[in-house]
Amino acid sequence: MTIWHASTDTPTPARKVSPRPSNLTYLSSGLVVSLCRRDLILALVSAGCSHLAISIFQYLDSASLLACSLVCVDWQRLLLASIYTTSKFRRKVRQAIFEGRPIQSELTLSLDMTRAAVVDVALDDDFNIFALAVLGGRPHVMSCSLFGLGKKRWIHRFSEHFELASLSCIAAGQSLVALGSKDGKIRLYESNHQLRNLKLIAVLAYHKGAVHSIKFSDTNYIVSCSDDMTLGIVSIPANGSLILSKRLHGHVSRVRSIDVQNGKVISGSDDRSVKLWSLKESSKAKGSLASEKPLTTMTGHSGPVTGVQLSLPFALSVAGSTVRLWNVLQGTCLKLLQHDEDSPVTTMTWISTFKGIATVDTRGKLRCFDLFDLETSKQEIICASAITDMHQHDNAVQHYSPKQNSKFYGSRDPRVLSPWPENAIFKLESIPHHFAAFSLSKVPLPTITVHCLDYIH
Amino acid sequence: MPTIKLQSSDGEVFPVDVEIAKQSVTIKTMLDDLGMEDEEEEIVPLPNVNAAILKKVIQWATYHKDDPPAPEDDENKEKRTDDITSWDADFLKVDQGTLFELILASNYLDIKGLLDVTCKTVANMIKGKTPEEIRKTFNIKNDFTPSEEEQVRKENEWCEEK
Repeated sequence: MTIWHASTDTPTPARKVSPRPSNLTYLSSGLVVSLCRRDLILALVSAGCSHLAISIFQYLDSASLLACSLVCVDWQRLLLASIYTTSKFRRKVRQAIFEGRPIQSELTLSLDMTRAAVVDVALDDDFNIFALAVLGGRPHVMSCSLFGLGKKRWIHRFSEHFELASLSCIAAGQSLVALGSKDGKIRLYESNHQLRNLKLIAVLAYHKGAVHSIKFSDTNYIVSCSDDMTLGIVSIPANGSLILSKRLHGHVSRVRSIDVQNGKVISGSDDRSVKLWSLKESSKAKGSLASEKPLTTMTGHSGPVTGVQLSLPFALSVAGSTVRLWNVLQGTCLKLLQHDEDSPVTTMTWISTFKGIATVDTRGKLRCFDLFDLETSKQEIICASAITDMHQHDNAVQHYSPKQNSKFYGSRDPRVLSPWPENAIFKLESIPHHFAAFSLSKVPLPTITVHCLDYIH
Repeated sequence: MPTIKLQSSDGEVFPVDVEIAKQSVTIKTMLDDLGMEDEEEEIVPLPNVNAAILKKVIQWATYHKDDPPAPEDDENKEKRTDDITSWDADFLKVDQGTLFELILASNYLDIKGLLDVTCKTVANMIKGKTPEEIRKTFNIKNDFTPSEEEQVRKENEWCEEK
């Protein structure tokens, strides 16, 4: 399995160096050709010196490594076969966590105007963060790259006159930014020139009620859900036009939350049900907006479903203080994660690297559940409130494990080591290797802080 | 000071001080093992390094001839990239092709100081960038298909291994 050797004791004589370049002109032109086909890293690998490529990676911090692993297939393979398997790297990650700090550097978006109210934040495929905020009654969009270490800029101030606080949500992906509003419209913007500004390209007005959530699928679809009890799916063909590919009817109350993965959509509604849908246009109903039935409907929640997350074949849904873990293909509820009755869950996400679940409740408690432990546990109801508080302060991390041998991360001294300051995390997002927690503080200036966290079992 | 003659792959011969040439462990071993030190007229062929690159390497080695030997890598020590001297930074203001050749040459000649500083320079070209910016820097095409990305994400559960 190990194709690339992490180190060699004796230097490997380089082979395949430009064969007999006769003069400088030839040399430079020959190299341009060889580097046009392969980038510097892969050129080192093909010259038989993959250990040199790896030693370059070893200088990088985990944020940059994460970026590298998303550059292209070959880079990712190289990283997966080398850096990510070396015990040294894992030790480094582990150490960072046990010291109580996130392994990623902390990012802070400072919204330096006192009347800023953050409406929503979104991450796109390249981990650019988009924050929608209202400043002095006017909506603004701010952007910041997760890899730019705090470089941020306002990318759009809206000149149109929106009604105060009419915007409800933001989504980003495929160089587009979508804003949903309470009048049912979805405004679609192109974020061009390296996020320098937003250009309005379309206003989608098929929803009759407030838009609650918008998601970009990885296969050129925009999915939205609304108070009008429907889901809308818009496809973006390669030629850049937008086609409303279908409306999904089935819920009997407002649809609050959606998630998209691998051609499937999951939706959670005030009618207490969770439904799974297919994203693709059904062959027989092509062209027409015929109604389509959900693939599965899952019931069991006793209140409005306010959040859903899909990770096939599993899904999460939250209603009040109850989180349910489903197998969506069978439509069965596997586990019920019961949180404190008086502090409902506000946001949750998958933790991608170790297959876990992170939740945050209204008291600001972040809890991590290990999915493997959950699967093997015989209990059907996991009582999150029964987990003893690791720390005495309100923002403590709790970790559930029936095996009691798992490690958790957290801090002994919240003032210095806690990765999150005294404010509530309002959104969790899953990103490869990590999950991102967005928190908001109001003192001294309104500030969004993004913590990229990971968990080591 | 004794000199030796280094011959590049394209036949150009460079007379170099032995002490400067010995920064290359490969050349040093060659001289020590084969006892070539006394033979003034001996030419050391370096079939993997062309004249342009050898010139650069000699320039670097000449400037760094009085440096203490590079410390051994410490496994636990954080690897830094912000400790490149301004001379080295200027020296390495070259195109990526030359940088690539210099890395290979310093690896072949086993000059740890030059290898470290060239690798650091490449690392600095990556650090703090988004995947898209890295692609631009190195002229890479994003060849992920959505399903592949998902697959790799699933395979990439390295944290689970004990």
